[in-house]
Amino acid sequence: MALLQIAEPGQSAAPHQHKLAVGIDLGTTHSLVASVRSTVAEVLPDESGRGLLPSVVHYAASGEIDVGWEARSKAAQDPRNTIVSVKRFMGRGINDIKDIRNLPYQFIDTPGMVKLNTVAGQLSPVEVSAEILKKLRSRAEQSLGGDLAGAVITVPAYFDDAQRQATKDAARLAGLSVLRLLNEPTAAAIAYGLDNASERIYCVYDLGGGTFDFSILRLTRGVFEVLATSGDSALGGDDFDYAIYHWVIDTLKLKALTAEDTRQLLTEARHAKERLTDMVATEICCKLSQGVDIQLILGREVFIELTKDLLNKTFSPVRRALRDAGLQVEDVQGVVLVGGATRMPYLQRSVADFFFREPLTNLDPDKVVAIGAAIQANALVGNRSDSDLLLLDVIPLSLGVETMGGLSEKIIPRNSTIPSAMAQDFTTFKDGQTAMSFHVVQGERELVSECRSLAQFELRGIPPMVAGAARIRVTFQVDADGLLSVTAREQTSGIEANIVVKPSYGLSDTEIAGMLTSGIANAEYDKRMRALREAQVEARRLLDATEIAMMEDGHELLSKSEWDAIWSSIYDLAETLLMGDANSLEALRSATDGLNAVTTEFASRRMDATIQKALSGQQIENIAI
Amino acid sequence: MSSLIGTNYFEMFGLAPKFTIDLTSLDYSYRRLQTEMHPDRYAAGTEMEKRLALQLSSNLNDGYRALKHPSSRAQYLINLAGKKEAGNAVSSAFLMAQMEWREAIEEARASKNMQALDALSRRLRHTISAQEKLLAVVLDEQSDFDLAAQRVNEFRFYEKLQIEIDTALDALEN
Repeated sequence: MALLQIAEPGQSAAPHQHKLAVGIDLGTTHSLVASVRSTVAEVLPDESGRGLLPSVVHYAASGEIDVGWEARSKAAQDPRNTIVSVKRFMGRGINDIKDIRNLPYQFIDTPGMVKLNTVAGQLSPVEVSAEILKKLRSRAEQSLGGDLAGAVITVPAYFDDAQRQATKDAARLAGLSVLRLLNEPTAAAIAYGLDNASERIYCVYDLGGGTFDFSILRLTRGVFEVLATSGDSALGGDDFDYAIYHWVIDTLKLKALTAEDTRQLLTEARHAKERLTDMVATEICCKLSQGVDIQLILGREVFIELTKDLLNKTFSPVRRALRDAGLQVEDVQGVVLVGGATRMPYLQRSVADFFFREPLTNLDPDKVVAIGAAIQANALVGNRSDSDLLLLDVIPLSLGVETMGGLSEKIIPRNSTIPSAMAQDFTTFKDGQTAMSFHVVQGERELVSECRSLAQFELRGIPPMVAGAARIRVTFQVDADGLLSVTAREQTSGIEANIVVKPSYGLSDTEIAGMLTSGIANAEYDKRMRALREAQVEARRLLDATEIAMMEDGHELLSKSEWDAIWSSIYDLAETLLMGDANSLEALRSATDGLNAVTTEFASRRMDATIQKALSGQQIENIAI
Repeated sequence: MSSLIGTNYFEMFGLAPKFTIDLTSLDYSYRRLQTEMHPDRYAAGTEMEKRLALQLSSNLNDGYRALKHPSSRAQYLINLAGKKEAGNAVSSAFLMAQMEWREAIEEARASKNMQALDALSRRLRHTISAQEKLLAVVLDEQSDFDLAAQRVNEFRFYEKLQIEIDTALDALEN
């Protein structure tokens, strides 16, 4: 029992203490943070009571960084150093960014991901996103009153590997421990508490400012599966504002407007759209430069006429997703609306007409994703011991390798449930060939040139054989966050060569470490302290988990000598942990590795026992039925 | 480690290694095991637990995918029986049918006839379900894995046709 006291030296969280966890909706235009407080998930507001944080970061020459409302107010006067909608650049190369000429930024074409040249130097989109996350993190820590144990961050369901990796890197940079990247539609479904006992099919219709996403989910006894996703990345609520804007210009036959006038009229158009949610007609009033006075009445009917093509465009992806999932409209038992634009009454009516049922609208469509993420974070961190909530997500795009002729051989097809590990065998092309190069791509097209390139790597040391005799097994492993690692292994000869690649769009650990420490004088020391803290957290976690496991199953699953060996390693690690100074990093790591090694077999036996229990439970229940 | 996964996917889900399986039972075992093994269960766990959960949960997903669909389930049984893939072997009757299907689809697509495509899609669904019954007989009653390998090839062709029709319908609708 003394061992338990050693393993929990004050700082370490007691197993049943409530841990602080948050859900973060890192959006294109706005971001939010939410948390479960006394069983209710709620969005955490800033000091002024505002829940939404504009996803805008301003860099000043003085070195000062503003995030949110303050930053947004600087967009007009200092566009180059005010980064708006950075989410669109995450994990993207310079050729991926649409309308790059119309954006006020100086892009730098760096390998993997673009950078932005600002007064604060060259910045990666990951660093910019990290500023938004830092702001939300400190908001959360202030209002919850403590350090965060972990965060769930939402990403669009269609985000590819590079974009997910970039998001996770940004979170790390912001000092957040990422429990899981969660697809936005899945978060919305969780917010509505759709983890019902009976089997149901739900759709999530998400019309954001600049994008439309549609997803179909199946929920069965607490299991969420994403059956299909689709969308239109160039269609959003802003297009409805543009429709009003163009109508004003056409009606009044206005000449080319200045940038300032355009902005003003667009803002007024957005307000008019919002007013039409509650009113049948509204007045558009604004004063432009050069004394042009605008005063027009816009009726709801005219607005509908102007925008019904836009709205109809959303139903193409809806139909495509239904077909992908092999479903009819009648199979859908609920439709969740997400995004501010879904407040439009005629949109809600159109959705109701399409699905023959009223959509769910009782939660705030701007907050629903963050709330769902908070609920999931609370479960993942272990606050809900009764938790029967399980998410099964899919990868949005197929993963493959390049084969002869520049074609993509799909190894994991899109919409495969994750995590997933799939393998494909390849062979040599020439006699005596000793090396093979692999090009990993993501996308649906046949031609590699039309897919996204994720990584290139070589496998060397293949024993010389005649062409076609070697067998190289390439295994793709996608984890629960949707992130990929690839392994290639030559198998015929018994000689093995392994290689694991990280997508080239992700930042290397060295780059992350560099960003973490940049600007700090004692960078080397700081890096070491951070590494030590991370090692301490992992060591404590391992001690807690091992001790609980020993109490629960140790006597049943271990022999006397195995039991003794594990306790002895627990002692070693607990002792090393108590030393606590920076010099013990290596010792801490080696003691952690030691305990990990000695408990590997125990951990697999425990999982095996869990499987056996789950299977026998099923048989009993089948008999009961 | 092999005891964790079972020696094959059927064992993993507690099913007899047959083509005809109770899909409800497969669904149930899969969900039950996934609820226990998913990495989410170990999000706050140790690195070792996370790695094991990733591996087991991946296995469950891959096994479920292999057994859920008739063509992959049949192929998996054929592999278990130690047969290699049958190349492109098909019957001559099938070759005739194949040409007729292609012509009918091409004609409907060229004339942008959605009703014809819908009708073809319905007919194809019947064909697929008949082929599935044939596979059950060949695999479960006759245990003729060579013939089964040929039937799987044919079955896959019909599945591809289904996708072609869907794509054509998609294109017409937009």
